[in-house]
Amino acid sequence: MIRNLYILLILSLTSLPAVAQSTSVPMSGGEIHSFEKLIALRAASTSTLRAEFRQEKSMEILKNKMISAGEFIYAKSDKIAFLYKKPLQYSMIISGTTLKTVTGGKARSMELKSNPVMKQMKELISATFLGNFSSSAKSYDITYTKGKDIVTALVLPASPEIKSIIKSIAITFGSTEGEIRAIKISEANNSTTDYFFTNQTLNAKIPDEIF
Amino acid sequence: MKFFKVIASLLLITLATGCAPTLKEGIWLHNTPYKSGGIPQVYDPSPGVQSYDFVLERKGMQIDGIVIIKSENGGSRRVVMTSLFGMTFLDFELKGETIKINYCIEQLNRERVILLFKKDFEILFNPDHSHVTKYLFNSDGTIKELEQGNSITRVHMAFGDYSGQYPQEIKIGHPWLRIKLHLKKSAYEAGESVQN
Repeated sequence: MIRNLYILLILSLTSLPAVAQSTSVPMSGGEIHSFEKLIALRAASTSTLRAEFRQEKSMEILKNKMISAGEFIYAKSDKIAFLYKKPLQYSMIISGTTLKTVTGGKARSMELKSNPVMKQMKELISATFLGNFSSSAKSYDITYTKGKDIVTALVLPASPEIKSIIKSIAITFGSTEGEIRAIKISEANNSTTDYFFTNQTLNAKIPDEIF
Repeated sequence: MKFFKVIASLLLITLATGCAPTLKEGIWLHNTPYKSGGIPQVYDPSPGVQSYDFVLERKGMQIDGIVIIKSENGGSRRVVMTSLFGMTFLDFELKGETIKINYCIEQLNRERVILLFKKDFEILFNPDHSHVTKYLFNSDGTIKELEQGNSITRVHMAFGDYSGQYPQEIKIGHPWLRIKLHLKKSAYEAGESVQN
């Protein structure tokens, strides 16, 4: 049971909804093709990424958002770390098919590859960080819209299992550089979680010990 | 040989179906001054929202998250368990002995799991909701530990780090099921943004 919860946690991170823009308009096939090419080029030239992130969770039960912040680290090709710094010190690190969490200085690792849901998670990671959305076509419906200086990819899970948890994921990219600016996850229970990424640094050296 | 098997079986049955909680120094509810009510509370019943960091452990596996509890005027309480990453696992309302599930991820949607959480939170909100309960008290009269149920339904709770009337740390254990739930007052206070 707990293993499945972990996988769903990761899925929730890798499934991203975009910040809805009232001025967004659908993109043409040619525009989508060009944008996917931009993302793929960016991914190809990116070996590491560091960014600060801010997480905002909105729930029906709460008047105010629950806000946390920390550092996001990606290292090619399958290493991702969310290092929460406020209000709690907490880490979630994916390296290959291993998930490691660190709470209160206590680290725990879990092997996830035996679960079929992991495959979908890996697809999402690839789609998000390598720009390879086309390979996920069977698992997710993806539509693109564009705003003033952004492109939003709206990802709708096709799998009933995932759909029962996540309604949609939106990824907001900068339209010129293709950097991920925000991710919004809309859950089936009408809660939403927004991640905002700032101060992004590409190809900086990442200490091995993080992973 | 058969004799020893019978003895072993009897021992196992005795262990598994012990008819009472094992909190050795504990006092039964009917032997406390609170047999007619008024037992010290371990959860602030005032209307409003409180949040706890939780760690759920089972057979060496562990998951972290936040429990948000909203108390309503009518005595009902809404409990939402969410991950630190933002995903909601479980959302239910308790009023008396009635539970209403608002949302539950499929992986958690098992009757025995839901009933386990229901019972734990019922005890938390009403430590004397069953008379088959043993208590240990602190010198100031607050509850230090309690134990309820027997064999597979046995639950043990320890309350610590009191701030005024209420504990900031609650450890819930189901020894037979090897499940532990550790609650600690959260830095996410009442849903306010505590860090910007």
